[in-house]
Amino acid sequence: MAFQNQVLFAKDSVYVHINVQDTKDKDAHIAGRVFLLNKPEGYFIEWKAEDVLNLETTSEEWDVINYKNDREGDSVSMNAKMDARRKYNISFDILDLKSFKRSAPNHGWAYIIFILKDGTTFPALHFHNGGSKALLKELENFIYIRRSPNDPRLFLVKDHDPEQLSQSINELSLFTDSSGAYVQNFVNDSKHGLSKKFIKSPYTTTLGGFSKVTNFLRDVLMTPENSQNLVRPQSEVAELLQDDIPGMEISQLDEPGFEMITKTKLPPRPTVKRGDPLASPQWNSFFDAEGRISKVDELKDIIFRGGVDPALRSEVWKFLLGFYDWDSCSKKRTDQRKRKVDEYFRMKLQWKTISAEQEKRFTLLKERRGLIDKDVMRTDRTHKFFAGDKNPNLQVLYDILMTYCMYNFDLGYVQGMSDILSPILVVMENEVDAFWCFAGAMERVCHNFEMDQNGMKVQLSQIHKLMQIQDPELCAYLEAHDSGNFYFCFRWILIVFKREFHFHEIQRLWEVIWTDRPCSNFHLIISLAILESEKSTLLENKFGFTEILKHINDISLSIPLEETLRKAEGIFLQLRDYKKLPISLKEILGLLPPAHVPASQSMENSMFMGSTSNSSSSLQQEAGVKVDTPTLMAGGAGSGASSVKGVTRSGSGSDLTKGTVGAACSANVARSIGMSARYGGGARQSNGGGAGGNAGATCGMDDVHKVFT
Amino acid sequence: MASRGGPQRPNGASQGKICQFKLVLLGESAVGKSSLVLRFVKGQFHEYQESTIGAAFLTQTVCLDDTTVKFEIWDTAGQERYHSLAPMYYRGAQAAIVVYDITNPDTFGRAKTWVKELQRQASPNIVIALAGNKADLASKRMVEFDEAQAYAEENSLLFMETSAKTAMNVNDIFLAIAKKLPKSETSGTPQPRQGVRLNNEQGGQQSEGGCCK
Repeated sequence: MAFQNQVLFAKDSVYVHINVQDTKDKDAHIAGRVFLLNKPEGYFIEWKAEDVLNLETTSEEWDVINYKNDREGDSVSMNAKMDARRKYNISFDILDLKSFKRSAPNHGWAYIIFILKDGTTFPALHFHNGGSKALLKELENFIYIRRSPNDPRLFLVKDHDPEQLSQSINELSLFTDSSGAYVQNFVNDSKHGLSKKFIKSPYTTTLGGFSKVTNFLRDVLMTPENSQNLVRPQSEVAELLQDDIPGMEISQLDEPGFEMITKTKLPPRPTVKRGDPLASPQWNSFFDAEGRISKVDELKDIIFRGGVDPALRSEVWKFLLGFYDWDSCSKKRTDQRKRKVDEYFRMKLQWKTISAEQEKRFTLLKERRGLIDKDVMRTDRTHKFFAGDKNPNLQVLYDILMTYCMYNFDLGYVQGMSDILSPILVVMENEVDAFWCFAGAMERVCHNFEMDQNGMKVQLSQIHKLMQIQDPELCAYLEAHDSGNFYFCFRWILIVFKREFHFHEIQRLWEVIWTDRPCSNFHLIISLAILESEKSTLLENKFGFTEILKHINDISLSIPLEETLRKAEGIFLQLRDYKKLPISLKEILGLLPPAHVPASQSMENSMFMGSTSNSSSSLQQEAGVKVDTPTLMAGGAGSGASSVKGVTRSGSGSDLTKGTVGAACSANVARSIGMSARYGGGARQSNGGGAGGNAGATCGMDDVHKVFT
Repeated sequence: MASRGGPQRPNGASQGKICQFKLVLLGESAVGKSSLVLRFVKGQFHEYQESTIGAAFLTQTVCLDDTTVKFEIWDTAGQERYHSLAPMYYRGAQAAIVVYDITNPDTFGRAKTWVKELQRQASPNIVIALAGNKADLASKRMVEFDEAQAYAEENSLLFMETSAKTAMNVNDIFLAIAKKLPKSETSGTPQPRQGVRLNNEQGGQQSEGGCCK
């Protein structure tokens, strides 16, 4: 058919702010043009990056009227840069549009985020030279739009219904900022007979089914209203309901709800302020003459509040991740570091010295090598540090993950670990430091990767439990839409939001989380905070199981970090101060006695060994490396014991002091320690490569032999 | 959704029936599951496509004669460790694409395991397609076409070798599934390309277009 795409609207200087995983050019934007097109298939909104436009303009005849169908532009021969830009291109049929979010009016330039019926959420289109209003006005010729009464930034597209047209047009007058014009108080509006019926017998109606109630309520409450006018009717409804049903508490949240009737009433959310990152002079001021950190708690508070200056990260993270003990003096740290270098190269040699012939009969190791190989190739390759073919940093990533397999053979390598390592390696820029910091970070999350997935299940159900109290309405909605298992948060929890934030943001988020403030499960509260921000979108779009998952996947890289952290801390404080907080939740939040113990420590008690606590981490590393590894290797692949059990076993009892570890060391292990000291030195001096490395390997074979027999 | 593979709803007038199918992608890690979906849904290919954590969900619509077939595609994580999550995603699926990498025989073995599991655990009438992906890497081939085809025939699977990189057979395999899914009168008809408008492959593979058995 000779149908030509007709351009109904076009606007230049519309930018997508891309995921550049690098602090240095985090503001990189891709310029492009947005269109409203009349195509044979229907009306489409499209956005195309400028490069793509140029190519199509030169290779095909292209002008504003005669728009070229982009499909033939597909070809593998396109250069990589082009391909990278093209991946941001947007095209959708406006009949698939479910809703969109507009920036707040004072946000500088305007942006629009389009959300489709299937949950697809596109990156924000930033109108640097204006035009967003014009586009939406054009759009209103084809679809019916109304503003959400709960979220002034959210606009909902109504299903096709001619009667709604005038209403929609009225609603769109909001764009002209003469928004006070259209006001409707549904309680007093005689047209809404149904609302009166509801108010008269809410209980019956409620029993009739929440979904009916909510759909109905929603329709009623969502008649066009200015958000500031919504407060009164809602509270009126609440009062009326309360009269009818004594003893029922009515949620008077901003949102009209699926479950208007709730029993929780959390204390008001306190305002939370974030601070500045820990900077160099401040950091230095914490050290005494011997190089010991004087006020650890105070320091952690600062890091929790504002993070760490990027220039300091490689030093500060070594404390946060247990590479150095918090109470160590400079001299002790020098020793600690030396020992860790030796230990690292000893373990690295273990896998380096396994011959191809040997590996044929070592399936487990071979499989892990394969997995690591595959994942290293595709971890953060858009980041400068890992970009390009044959980037040497990929080898470092690989070596650290292989060595971690030796360090924690029971766990091995599981997909997602490379995501945990990558930001750490970028900060450390040093193989040994990165390895030990990675090992420290893994101590905190290793239960996520266990075979039975139990660690994940526990945390997802903890989010569920917390939300039951924190936001029963959202919780009920998710449950009613097959999402009560919170599997749509799986990626968040598994790799601690690594894929949800830009690179510089994830570094900030992680250092905040590693302070274990205000509790060790702060990541769960962060999940609640993000979900709260998405609540209107999920509920008002009536998203189901698949749309919820898709939307949550798609908001990655567009979650505002500082705002989320403020919100999360506020939620924590609300829960903490809630007098009827169930014990099980207090436990999750680390609020149970010993209450006099500072939050950070009680947290470490409740969770995963406390990699940041002083004595236990170094002890564990010692025991884990020198005792545990040989035991595991001898025990064979299927032993299934966790490294924790391994330590306990080797340490012959729960009283795991340095003395008992020493006593538990067999002569065999003692030999291996001696060995490691000998060859480790050589390896260290040569930094693991070249001739020194070879010499080390020779000793290493000898050593490995002894360890394994 | 539907940004590039493009064929959307028929333009107003003669809108036939609309069928919606749930399709799940299974297969060993790094065989190209996400890349196949990305090619099918967005017409794109990323050399270093990141691993899938948890699951991803995408939709794409194709037109088959007078029927609009909407695929709801679940893309899963491949590593064995996450196997226990898979039933959550293949439950209720009407179709599955089990993917292996033609340069890696282990992944073919794993594909067979997935097929077995689907035959045992998934919906009884599930349409299963086997995709030998990375067909552009023919010089590194380790799994023979004939071997895979014989296996597919034995097990009544649709089978194609695909390349998410070159787009070879990507739309075709989805299309073949769409044809095989129960919708009454569509089967048997040679598929007119223009009715589908899924022709963003490079040339030379038209002959394989009607691979539906």
